[in-house]
Amino acid sequence: MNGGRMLKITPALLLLLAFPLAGCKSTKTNQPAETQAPSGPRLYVTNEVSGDLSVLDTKNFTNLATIPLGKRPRGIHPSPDHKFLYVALSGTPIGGPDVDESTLPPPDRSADGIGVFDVQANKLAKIIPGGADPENFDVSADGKYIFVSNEDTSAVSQIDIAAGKVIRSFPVGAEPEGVKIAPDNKLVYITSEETGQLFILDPAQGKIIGSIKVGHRPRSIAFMPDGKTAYVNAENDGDVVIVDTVKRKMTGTIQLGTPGQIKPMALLLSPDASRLYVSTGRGQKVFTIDTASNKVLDSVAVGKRPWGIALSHDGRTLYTANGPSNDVSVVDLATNSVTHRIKAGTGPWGIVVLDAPGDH
Amino acid sequence: MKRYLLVLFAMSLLGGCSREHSNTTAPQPGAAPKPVYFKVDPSTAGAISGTVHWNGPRPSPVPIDMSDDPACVAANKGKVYDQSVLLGKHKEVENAFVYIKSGLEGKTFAPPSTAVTIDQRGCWFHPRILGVQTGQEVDIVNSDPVTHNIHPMAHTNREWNHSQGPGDSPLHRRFLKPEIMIPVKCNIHSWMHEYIGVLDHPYFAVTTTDGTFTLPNLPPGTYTIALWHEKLGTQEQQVTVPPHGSQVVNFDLKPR
Repeated sequence: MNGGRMLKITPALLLLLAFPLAGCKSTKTNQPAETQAPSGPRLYVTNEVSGDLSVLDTKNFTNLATIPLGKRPRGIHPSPDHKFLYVALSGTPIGGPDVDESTLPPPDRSADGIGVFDVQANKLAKIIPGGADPENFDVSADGKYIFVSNEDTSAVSQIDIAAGKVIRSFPVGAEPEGVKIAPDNKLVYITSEETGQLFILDPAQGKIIGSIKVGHRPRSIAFMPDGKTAYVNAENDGDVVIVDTVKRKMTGTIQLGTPGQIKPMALLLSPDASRLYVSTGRGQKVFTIDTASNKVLDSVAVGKRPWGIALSHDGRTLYTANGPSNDVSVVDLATNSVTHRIKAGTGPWGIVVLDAPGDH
Repeated sequence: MKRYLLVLFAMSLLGGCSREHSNTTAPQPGAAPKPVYFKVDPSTAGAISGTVHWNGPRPSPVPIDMSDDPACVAANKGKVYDQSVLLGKHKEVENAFVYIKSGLEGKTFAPPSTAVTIDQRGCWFHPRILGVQTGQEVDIVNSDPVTHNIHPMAHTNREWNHSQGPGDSPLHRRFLKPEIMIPVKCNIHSWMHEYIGVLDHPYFAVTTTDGTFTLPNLPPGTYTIALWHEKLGTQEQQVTVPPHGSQVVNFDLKPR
């Protein structure tokens, strides 16, 4: 052995050897993500393309953490106690007008499920079954059940969260998407994109009890607090449909723009229900509607293909998840202007505002 | 030794992070071999032609109500009728899909380099019956001032649907597996229907207004020739095409 040429482990060499490993650390893990100290409410944004969750700071407008979730996270809703966030995950590959479906791999059904994200631990705790290709859903007021649309199987499924399983499914029209539990917590409404209907599920009776024709390609539902009026988007008609839920019929429409150019997507009411906010996808705008007159008050361009929208607790700030822009726009509703844009992951889809865990 | 460590470091820099994004051009194990396409010998190629007739009562025209969309009403002057059964003066059947069902096994045909087009015009699909070869590009355009939502309800191929607004860019699609027939609808306009026949060879035709069809450039052989019509039914016949020969195969459809 040539003692003179023996390896001498020096700090510099260790650093040198460690460097390539550190360079590979962009691979995401399912470890709890470190975040900065709580500084106010946070935005939780599902990123459909990058398959992760962005945690954004609403005070400093920074990206606090990016946490892997699974394939194609879209719909996101908190548990009533805000301890968990539920996220729809789907193994159905992402399509779209510019993607030839024949080039896509077959759906990976093993990736379907509802991700259960622990807000305090800031990590994905588990994934429970959610039926095939879950996209959007609602959580019952008692926090026991999730009702989820299963687009590929034209069904809505009821999930027992504690048991972690789908307990029953109900056939609805093709391509179900929007799911909303009425304010009385008794009936569940589901949109069918293909049939242009709003299906009404009565979980107590265990059946679909009716449907309402609402327009072309409905995706989202918002209820006035009394539950007697519902607003439903009609993406292909460029309008929002007003529904009398007592008479179970469409009573009017609110035109937002030229069909095909303005594509109403998500609906959200202000805390006092005096304003209805509507994202419009490729229309790139969010519209504000006065719910007393059902007239359009204003609109603001926010980014490319705004989809999910959320409001600050005081209702003064609107946040929009902008898919192809890969960011979230912050809209000051007093001036109806975008004040900040916060970088998110790839393909932001759904968005939720929650207090930081330390601020509860 | 330090030199070796530096080499190790350099190798890890080059290789350690790039495994998931390997861009090698070397053939992958198990990769599909390049297909060998069949070439028809022009000196022996034959053809099949024929006419399709309907031997039943002429159906009454069924009116279409387009009043849901005023732009569609405006695009169609006067009363509009269902287009599913179109018969000539002597009940020649237009829009029947005729194709070779068997007899070409073992032959692989190159997909055409030219695309076929589905045009949504006047709130109808044009053409109503379309034949394409597997892997052939299909371009979908919207020539109307209204939004359409084309929806091929494929079973063997992948089902999809997309809305297409006025002036939107064409959609470009391919169907990779043979399928007879793929029903297509517009999710917005309930009367809009089309059917797509997908075959892994070029021997198919759609009957014209006089009910005729031709399948040219066929290699000699014995074939099952099949007919499909969206309302009037299906039929099959056996036919042998001799070298450089032409055969006539007529179809007479009757009420079932």
